[in-house]
Order: sequence, then C-alpha cells, then structure tokens
Amino acid sequence: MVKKIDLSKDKSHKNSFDIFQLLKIIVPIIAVFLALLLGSILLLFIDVNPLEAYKYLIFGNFTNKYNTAEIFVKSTPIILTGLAFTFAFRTGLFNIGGEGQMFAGAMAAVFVGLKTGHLSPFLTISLSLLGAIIAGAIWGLIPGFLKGIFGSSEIIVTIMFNYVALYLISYLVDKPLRESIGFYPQTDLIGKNAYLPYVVPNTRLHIGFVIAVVFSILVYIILWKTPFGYRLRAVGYNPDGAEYSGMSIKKSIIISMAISGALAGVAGFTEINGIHHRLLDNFSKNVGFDGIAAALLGSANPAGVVVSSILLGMLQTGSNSMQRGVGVPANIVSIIQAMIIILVLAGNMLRPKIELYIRRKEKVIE
Amino acid sequence: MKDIFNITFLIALLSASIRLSVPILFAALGGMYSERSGVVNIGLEGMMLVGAFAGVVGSYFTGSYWIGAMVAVLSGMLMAALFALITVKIKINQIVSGVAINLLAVGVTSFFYRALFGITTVPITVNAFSPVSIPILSDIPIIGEILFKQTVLVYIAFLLVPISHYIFYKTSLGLSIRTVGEHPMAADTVGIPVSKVRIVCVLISGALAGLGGSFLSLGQFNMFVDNMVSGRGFIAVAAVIFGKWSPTGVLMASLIFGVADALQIRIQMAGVSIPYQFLLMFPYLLTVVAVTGIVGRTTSPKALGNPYEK
Repeated sequence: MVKKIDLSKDKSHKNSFDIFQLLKIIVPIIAVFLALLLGSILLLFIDVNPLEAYKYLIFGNFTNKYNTAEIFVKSTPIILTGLAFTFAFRTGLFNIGGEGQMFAGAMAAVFVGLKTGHLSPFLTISLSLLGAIIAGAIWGLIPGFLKGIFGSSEIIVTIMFNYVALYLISYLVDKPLRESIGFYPQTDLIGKNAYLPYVVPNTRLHIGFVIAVVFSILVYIILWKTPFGYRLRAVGYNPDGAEYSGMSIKKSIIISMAISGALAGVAGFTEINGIHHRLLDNFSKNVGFDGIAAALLGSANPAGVVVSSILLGMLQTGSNSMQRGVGVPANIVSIIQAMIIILVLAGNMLRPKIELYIRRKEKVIE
Repeated sequence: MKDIFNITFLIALLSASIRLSVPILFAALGGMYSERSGVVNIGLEGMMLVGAFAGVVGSYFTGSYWIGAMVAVLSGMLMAALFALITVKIKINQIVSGVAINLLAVGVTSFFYRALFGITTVPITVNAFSPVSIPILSDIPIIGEILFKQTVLVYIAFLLVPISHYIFYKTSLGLSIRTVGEHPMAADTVGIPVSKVRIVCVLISGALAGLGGSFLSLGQFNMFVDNMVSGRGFIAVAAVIFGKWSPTGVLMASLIFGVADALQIRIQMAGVSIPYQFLLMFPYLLTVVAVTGIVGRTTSPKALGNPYEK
C-alpha cells in the first residue's frame, strides 16, 4: 500500500546514504514526541502538569522489578496480534479481526487446559498451543475463504467475526463452561500443569513473551526466506502479475488469512495459559487493535512489531501508574497511541518528499 | 410464545425496526457520499462514537438536545476533517487511516468522558429527543403507529434518502461526485477539483455519522456509554456495499439490519430458549451474509480506495 520510493538504495549517492537511513529512524521518534506533545495539551486542559504526568507514564514502569516485567507481559499478546496483521498485510489483505481470532484461540486454549490439565506440563501446554493455533486459523480461514471465493471484503467480515467471537465467549462462560461454583460468568481455572512457566520470579512475566519473539522470527523466515513466503508477498504486491506467472490468488488469500488467524490465536493462548488461567468475559480487550497499531508503527516487519509492541506495552503500563499518581484517566494513552500511528504514517508518506528535497540541495552544491 | 405474533407485536417490532435502522441509515448515507467520491470510510465507526459522545456533552451543558445534535454533527465533521487530511491530502492508505480514526475516537471519547464527568460508575443522563406524532398521518391505523410516532431525527434520516437521491442523480454536484469516484483523471481534465470534491464528501460522511451517533445517545437512550456504537459504523459500511452505493439501496439495507436487530431483541424478551448471545450475533452474521454476495456481484465505484495523483 504505502509506496516506498527507496532512494537510499541508489548507489550513486553514497555520502547521502546515512541521512536517508537516519530519516527512517527519526520519523517514528519525532512522531512519538509530537504525540506526547499533543497529549500534554490535553493534560493542561484538565489542569494536570504534563511533566509530572509523564514522569509517571515513563518512569512509573521502572520503579520495581514487577512493574518493569509488566511491560513485557502487556506487550506479549500485542506482538502476536501485530504479527497477525503484518502477515495478512504483507500478502495484500487487511485482517482487522485479530481480536476475534485471539478470542477463538483463547476459547480453544481454555478448553484444552480444562480437559488435559492433569497431563504433564509439556504435553498439556503443547496441546493448548496447538488448539489455539487451529481455532485462530479457522477464525481467519472463514473470512479468507469468503474473500477468495466470493470476493467479500475481508475487512468487514473479520470485523464482524470479532463480535461473533465476543458473544461466543460470553455464551461459553455463561452456560456450558461456567465455573463449578456457578457464581461468576467465568470458567474454572485450567489445570496447574497448563500454566505457562514464569521467566522472572515474583513477576507475571511468563514464557509467552519468548514464544512471541520466536513467532516473530518464524514470520520473518517464512515471509522473506522461503519461496512460499515470496509467493504470498508477490500476490500482495501485484496480484495480476502473480496470477500471470501462475500463482493462485484464491489459494494465497485463504492460506494467508489462516496463518494470520493462527498467529492471533497464539495470543489467546499466551493470555489464557500465561495470565488469566481461565476464560472470562472481556478479557484482554482491544489487544487485537493494539496489534494493528504495533504493526503500523513497526512498518509491518516482524522486528518493528516487537519493538513497537514493547513501546505500546510501556505506554499502557505507564498509564496505569499515571492514573494512580496524578489521577489522569488512563484512556489518554489511547489518544496518544492513535496520534503516534497517524503521525508515523504521515511521516512515511512525506519522507520521499523530504528525501527529494535533500537530493535537490545536494545537486546544487555539486 | 404462541400469541407473540399478533398485530400489536408486529407493530411494536416494525416500529422498533425503524428506530434501530436510523443510526445505521445516517452513517451509511454518509458513507455512500464518501465512497461514491472514491474514499473508503471505515472511520464511520469512530465518527459515530464521537457523535454519540458529543451529543451527550452538548445536551448536558446546554440542556438542549438540539444543540447536542448540532455539536455531534460538528464533532463528526472534525474527525472527518482529520480523516480527509490524512487520506486525501497526505494520501495514507484509507483502510489504515480509518482504523487509526477509530482508535482515536475510542481514546478521545473515553478520556473526555472521564475528564468532564469524573470516573463514575453511573452514566450521566441528559435531555433527549422524545417521539413526535405527526398530526393526521399518525392517526392512520397501523402505519401511523409504525412510521409517524417517532423522534424528529428519524424523520430527518428518512428525508435524507430522497434528498441524497436528488443530489446524486439530478444535480451537477452529484455528477461531479460520481465522476470523481469513477474516473478522477477524467474529472480533473474537465475541471472538477478532485481533492475538493472528495474532502466535501468525507466531511458530509462525518456530519451524518456524527448525527447517527447522536441518535444512539439522544434518540434511543439519554446517556453515553464507552464503545456504545459497538460495530454499527462497520455495519453501515457493509450497508453501503449491500445497498450497491445507491440511496434507496442503502435505505433497504439499513431497514433489513433494523429488522434483524429488533427481531433479536423481541425474541429475547419473548423468552425463547435460544441463548441470548446467539441472538446478539445475528445482525453481525447477517452482515457477513450481506457482503458475501447474496445480492449478486456488486460493482463499486472504480476509483474506490485509490488516492488521486496528478
């Protein structure tokens, strides 16, 4: 979608290479600063000293080991839903249904965790992961199938499937999987053996973060280092050209949406087996959309997704300590987050113009 | 269970269907303007949410729901202005921009709600629209009950259908909009300002989505709740496709969604043994079916989704 006019690859301008590389990194940094600046206007509007508030937002994360670990706890599912969006995006599709696919994964993970929680940890955890992958893949496959066969907008269908998954969870915790005491609309705890092991003692940081990073490496390898991934990206980049050279667009769409859904499904697994240990209404809300934010911020490449997910995790944990510290509604972070995305995208669109401007100036000097 | 399908039930059902189709109709008509000019507007959802919130704020501080609706229209347009800036001027991908606008709307409404009213558990209630019976017409049996005992916003929504039809097919502005959406370069050649037309259309979509949102908070309820639009903006986007980008088609699509929603509520109230969550899914599943081509192959405006480069 975003046409990248990559002038920096032009070898004839060796001395300007650094400037253009720098520009690529500087755009997101400027975007974050501008968004925080806009946020400070809002803070002034509600009579809060922005510096005081930002002190909590940024440094509140690092007051102790537990809070610092929370950054990575929060960013784990965001990385996975971010990868889900990235995968579909790179193959020319908009999967806005990461949220629903995560819910689907969570439903499967909890079901497996409840039924096989007595088995050995390795077995039950693997089965939960597998279940989540399959459920997420199905939740992505259906929109992919409808897109491939009938040409239905995957955007609309994936969004609608978010709501369907939401109500499905609400039904499961209300009736068939309701806890045995029957008091709250939630399931029983999954078997202890299905809990993801913690990485850092006395924090909630579980091995899910490592799993998420492993998946980001996998996505990179699949998309950029295998012929299969090359084909998927070719279809995304130029569907007509890809079809002309013998690739099936329909098949590519369906496979890519299934994989994308599977990635988001894993987020459901890490949230259930790593954090909540049971299924409940409204758990991990908006993580699917945070993933989209992370993917856009990380210019839809796996390493970028990991870094921006950590940034978003930092903002979200920080916002809670800001709410406690100076009484600013934590929701201000959603505004800052949205502004960062808009500014980064705008910056990326304007970058070729800035580069052109620098080149012209250089020519004059020469 | 046996006697729910009598005439009173039917009247109540259809009257509710009309009411429930209105927010979708407003937003879908707006979305139609934007899409006809070549701009996909997934941000309708966020613009509705901002409208719902602004309506309550306007009504709360002035005591007038009319001013509330005006504030809602203006706020919807403000969001649309940002959307137009980033899609038409800066040319960021339209889908991505829509997602960003929706995220922004969630943040803006939930933040300002708490900033203005404090962190409360009980929603603030405000003055809201109440039904107005149209003399004579409302006395017609059955039909009067269904159509002419609604709030003013309902009448406005339905009047907008013929008005939009007139604008699209009988005025030069409508011709310009359609040309820009089908073939921007041709439009440019004959001197139609492509970007300006698109910006105006996006602003119209924001105004209508904002009004649709305020109908939720001031017409159906008298309060704002976080995320209260819950997908109606997305359903409106589907209604535009389902309605084949024409005002009457959009009206039909919106009415179908209204009936689905009303039916779902009535069945719940009648105590049918289907779990209510499945009934709640119904409008969303219907949307999936609607975009899966039961209406036959639809042809979108040719330049839909593509920014125009001179």
